[in-house]
Amino acid sequence: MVRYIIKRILLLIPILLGVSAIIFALKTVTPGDPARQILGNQATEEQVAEKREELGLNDPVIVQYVKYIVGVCHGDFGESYRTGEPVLSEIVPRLGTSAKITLGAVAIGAILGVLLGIISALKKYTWVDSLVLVISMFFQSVPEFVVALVLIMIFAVSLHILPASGIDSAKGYIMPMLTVGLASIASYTRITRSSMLEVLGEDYIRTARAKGQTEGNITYHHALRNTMIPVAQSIGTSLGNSLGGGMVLETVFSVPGVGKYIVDAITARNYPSVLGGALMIAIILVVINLLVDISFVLIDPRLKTTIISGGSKKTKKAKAA
Amino acid sequence: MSDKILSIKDLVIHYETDEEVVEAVNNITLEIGRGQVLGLVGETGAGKTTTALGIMGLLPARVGHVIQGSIELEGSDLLKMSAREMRSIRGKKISMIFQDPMTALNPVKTVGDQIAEVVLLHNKCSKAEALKRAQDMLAMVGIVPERYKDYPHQFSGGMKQRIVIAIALACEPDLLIADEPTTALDVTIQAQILDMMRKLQKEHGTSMILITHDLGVVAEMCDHCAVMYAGEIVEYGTTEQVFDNPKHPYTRALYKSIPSLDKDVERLEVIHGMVCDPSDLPTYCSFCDRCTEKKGICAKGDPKVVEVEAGHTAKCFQYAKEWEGK
Ligand SMILES: Nc1ncnc2c1ncn2[C@@H]1O[C@H](COP(=O)(O)OP(=O)(O)OP(=O)(O)O)[C@@H](O)[C@H]1O
Ligand SMILES: [Mg+2]
Repeated sequence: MVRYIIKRILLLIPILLGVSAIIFALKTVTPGDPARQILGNQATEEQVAEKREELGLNDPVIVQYVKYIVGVCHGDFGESYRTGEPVLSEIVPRLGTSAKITLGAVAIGAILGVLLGIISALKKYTWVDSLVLVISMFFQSVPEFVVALVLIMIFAVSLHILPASGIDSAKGYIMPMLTVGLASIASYTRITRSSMLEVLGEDYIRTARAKGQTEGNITYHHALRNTMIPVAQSIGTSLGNSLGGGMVLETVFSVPGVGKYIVDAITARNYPSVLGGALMIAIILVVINLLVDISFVLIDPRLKTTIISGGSKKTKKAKAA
Repeated sequence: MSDKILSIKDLVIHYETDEEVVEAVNNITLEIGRGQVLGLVGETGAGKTTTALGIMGLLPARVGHVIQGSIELEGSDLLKMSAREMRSIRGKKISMIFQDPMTALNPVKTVGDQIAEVVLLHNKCSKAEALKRAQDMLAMVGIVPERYKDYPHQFSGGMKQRIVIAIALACEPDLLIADEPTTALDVTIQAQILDMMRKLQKEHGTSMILITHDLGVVAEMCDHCAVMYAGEIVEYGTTEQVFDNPKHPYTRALYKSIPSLDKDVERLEVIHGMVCDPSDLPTYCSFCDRCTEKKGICAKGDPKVVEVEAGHTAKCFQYAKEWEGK
């Protein structure tokens, strides 16, 4: 198990090198001078040249890149051009904010989605099944920002029970979480429903019935865990997606998360911040994927032998009498 | 108490899908004596599994329907029972071993838990006692009891089948339905499993329906034998009667199609043609199109079941009065 985890963490290295290389390449081809951007239009040419020298922008790109990577290895993601603060200390609190929203949203989406999926699988081909399908498709097909605006209209503008933007109080988290959560219900419902239907048709469910087990216990004890295998996979994916893809949402609700941080940094050509944000998200995605894979092993004992090769191999021989 | 544990009368089972109605079981009548083993033979699609699922009340929901008939277990009709009553019978009074051991076990539960489950359902006992019973059952079917903590994928096919048998026998059922318990296994394991089943059946006095398409297995294990064809029982009798004096042309054809060591035949005879499509059965004898002994009358009507000797029946016009001369 430990060896497997270490192997997966080592995989981070090529991924991070790739991500940073791409962003570095973008930096060299986009027009505009970051030094000029920082100093503003009033600054003289000498001042700009001095700034360029200070930021190391005159070095060949490859040298800049290597310097940056060496820095990252020491936990130094550079300083934000805009504020002069270390990027890392700017990102970490924002990451916390984004993580809260993401976790809340995934929890809302997964809990509601899985429940609806189970209900529609158990009531397949009835009006309940169709109703669930319509509701979840509705939330999936309406774009997130529309849902966001409608929620703002209802809860902030008309009812005045939630703030329209910002996260000054815990209430501020509710609408962003709902927006992302509602949008993801449909995919959880669909995955859960089809997975559940497939599992309920398996022979071992019939075996359980042949034992005299009740339908409730069959669903709960025999079907649910097997059903959750593909669902866990999609929870992992959507955790990653909404963490990295919170840009529109965080902008709409003015939530100071990583998504908004990156959007702002891109507009300001604040490369250290863009790079730092992107690398951070890449690291988190890899870690989440690792956690998802580990949770698979907890759900499905068959994987213990296949995924984690090199683990302790039990040699048990059955003595057939 | 009657000496029959199970009696099936005029049972008809259909599978009804959007496109077609499959007449899988057509008017079968069968009895199984207490402590006896009945062999149910027939080629693929004959309706053997369907009959078994009908007895268990486990026909696929919405699709499988019992159209008519009765299935009496010790005098009470299973078809009239509530879902709750059926649950108390399944696993306790009637158990079933399914056709494919590879998929019959839940991959995410330990085998010990899966055996203990049926014990807990039908006995007032603690989880620990049930697990103890599970280990005893494993030992009984020849698996090291300590392996109760292992998952199904850690066992071989033959061992999985033993575990499935352990589940089926854990509550000492009165009637065991074994649906081709060995077809998925290789020949040496087959013999072991059958030996074990026969031993357990004798020890516990369990009545058994053994479904197979292997006549050798029937000869070895069964007291009575029922031959199924296109959802009907075309011949029924004691194993000796049916083997020594087969009355139905289909049974005779079956014998000719199995290899035998002591007869020196050039080549095996095959039964020509295909089983008729159960969604489009003929109104006349369903074996007529493949029968080598048929006469004109066979294509005109459906033969009745005739008792050809005491306890030996065949569904064929040869034993009807109309046969002579036509
Ligand atoms: N769920 C189902 N829906 C529709 N038709 C079915 C279904 N299950 C079985 N049938 C049909 O019913 C008929 C009898 O099937 P059954 O499984 O009882 O045969 P069998 O005698 O057990 O065959 P085998 O030896 O292959 O197991 C077949 O024609 C089959 O195609
Ligand atoms: Mg079958």
